[in-house]
Amino acid sequence: MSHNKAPGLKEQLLAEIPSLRAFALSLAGIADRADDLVQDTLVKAWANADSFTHGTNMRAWLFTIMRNTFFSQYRKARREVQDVDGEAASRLVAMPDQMSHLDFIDFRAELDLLPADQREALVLIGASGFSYEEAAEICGVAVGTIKSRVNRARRRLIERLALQTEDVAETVEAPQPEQSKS
Amino acid sequence: MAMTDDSKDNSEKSSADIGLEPLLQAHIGRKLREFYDSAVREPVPDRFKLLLDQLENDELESVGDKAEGKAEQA
Repeated sequence: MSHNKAPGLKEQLLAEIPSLRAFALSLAGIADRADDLVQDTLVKAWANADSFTHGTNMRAWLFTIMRNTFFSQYRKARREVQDVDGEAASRLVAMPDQMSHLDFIDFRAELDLLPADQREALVLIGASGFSYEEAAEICGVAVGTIKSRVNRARRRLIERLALQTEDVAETVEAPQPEQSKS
Repeated sequence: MAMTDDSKDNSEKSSADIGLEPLLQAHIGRKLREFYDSAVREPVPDRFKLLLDQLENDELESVGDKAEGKAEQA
């Protein structure tokens, strides 16, 4: 009789850490806090390994643990430090050389400004590669809710990026671009 | 329109819809994946490997033979 965790659990968890860190950064915004979230997720996953159904998607299971942890424990703290998100992002996120620095930061800033539930849905669908059904299960909501959140996130980002595009055009054409947006 | 899975939100037309939207939609998708993939590609910090080692050690110790657990780690 063995009380050990399923053989290979440690290796499976190790293999998922890169994805967990990316999702955590999406949720928490700041790398230090994101890695604390990863750590809490790993500890909970280890302690609750019995609740994982073998043959199902381990990443989805881990993401569920992570987002539940984030929304129950981290979300309030995130608001308190939101004013330094941009600076932290520029410091802590790996920056591919070929990428425009400003472009990247602008997008990160806009992503971080999305409501947390919309950002979560957008990342799960647009970056993590989950289906709408899987994302709905991870978030514990209906598929239609995920679709709605993703659409609202895209809409908001499009509007913000369009404004930036117009600002750039105005800045080029006129020395005093309007700042009348609320 | 680049949106295929939703028709309700399309009622909220804005200047962004005029010509720019497909480009911005693609831009957003690309930026999102760049952000996410760059995070995925970061090397895993040692703290997580150490954490999993610790969790494994604690468990081995809790189920019985401490010495054997440590020996397996060595």
